[in-house]
Amino acid sequence: MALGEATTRDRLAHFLCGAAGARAVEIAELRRLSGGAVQENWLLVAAIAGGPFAGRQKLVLRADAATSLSMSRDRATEFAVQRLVHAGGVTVPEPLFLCRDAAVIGKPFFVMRWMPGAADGQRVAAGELGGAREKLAERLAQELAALHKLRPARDALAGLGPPPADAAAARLRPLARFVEAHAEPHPVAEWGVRWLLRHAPPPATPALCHGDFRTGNYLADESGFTALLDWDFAGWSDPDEDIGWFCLGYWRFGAYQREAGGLVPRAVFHRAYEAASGRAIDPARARYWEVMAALRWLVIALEQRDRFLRGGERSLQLLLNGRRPAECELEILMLTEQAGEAA
Amino acid sequence: MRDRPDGASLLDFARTALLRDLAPLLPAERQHEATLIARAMAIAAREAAAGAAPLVACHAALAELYGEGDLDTLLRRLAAAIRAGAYDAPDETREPVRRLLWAITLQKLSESNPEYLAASGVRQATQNGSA
Repeated sequence: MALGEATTRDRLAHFLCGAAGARAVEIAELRRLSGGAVQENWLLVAAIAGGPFAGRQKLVLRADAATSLSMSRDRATEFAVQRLVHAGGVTVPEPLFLCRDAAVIGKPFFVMRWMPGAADGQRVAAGELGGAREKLAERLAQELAALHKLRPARDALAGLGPPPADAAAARLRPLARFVEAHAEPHPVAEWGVRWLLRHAPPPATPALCHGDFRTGNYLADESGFTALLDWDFAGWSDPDEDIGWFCLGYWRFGAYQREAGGLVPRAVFHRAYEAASGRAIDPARARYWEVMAALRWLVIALEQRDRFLRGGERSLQLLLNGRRPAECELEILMLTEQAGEAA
Repeated sequence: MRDRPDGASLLDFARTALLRDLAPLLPAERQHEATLIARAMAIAAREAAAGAAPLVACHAALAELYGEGDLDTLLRRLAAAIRAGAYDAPDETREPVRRLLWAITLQKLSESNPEYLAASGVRQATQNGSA
């Protein structure tokens, strides 16, 4: 039931016709966009006759890729989150139609408006994309602040489950369990777990968080930011978690000294977020969540490597991630020692 | 005996040929793969050059802490002791463990991603004892 097949396209056109309240829909273009190991995105150009969407519509279809991650949300939940944040003023591609019926293209999917730009983290960090880095970082801080300010009704996002009473404990528990149970010993990761257990900050009021807020997950064109993408890890958490994840060494794409997403020093990003949110960033809490980010990425890298070594998924990218933990371990050692034992 | 060139020279030549001669001929969407292959080869080359010395040093440091045993067993003992909180307190038992964790991490990173290590500027700091 590949998307490229004519019968699948016919069923897709039929679905769009109903969802868009149209008289007729013709699919003019359908091709897979690059990127997306967990989800796949397809450019979908549709000629729509009749109804509120009449005209030539440039859209993106998003569905699960062949392999999915345990932590990733399902498409219906992601659709609900993306609709909610779009209505709340966060700049995201407007989600339009959700299809839960796997009979249409073989799996659930949703359709959103196409937005200009590319999500190429390497080029953004290198300054080839996204315009002036300071301006881009400021805009991202504003978008993140707008997200964290939303106070949606819980039943509007039932798929996310209840907010954790203690976001740090909730995040740490499965990571610690993974490290302990893994096939090989990981003493530095254990060191990080121990530090995180002993330095947990008082729980913050949970906010709706992106969960994978980083360079490489937003669209940018030559002049700057265009849209925030990839809401499949969204959930209730401490808003400082998004800030810590944004500063993870790996997401600096080689621009190591510009800690915030390879764009600006972390203090500059913190200030921009504070200005936009009216909420002060406690550097100790931010550092705590950076240690958590390093541990989380270490675990993800091991999981990805195991998909190759044990799951038989022949991707060199996944295999090479088996050599990433050392980067996270360096961050764990540096950040915990900067914090000092008194912290 | 072995004929020349040795493995390191072969790997080095092959990697250069891949990046300099072959990669530019690949379509844009396959360029990334060539980079990944080159990265895998570079890690393997650095690992071969380092040989067994780093593992021997790590093993010796662990044996000093926990006595005899194979490397994997001692690493598991270290991990379990950390998990149990044996090194939480900033006392004289903590310091050698802390130093060992740094040594393990710097050694792994010098093979897996020396560019990252250099960018972090950390090697100097630890040598000064003020990481």
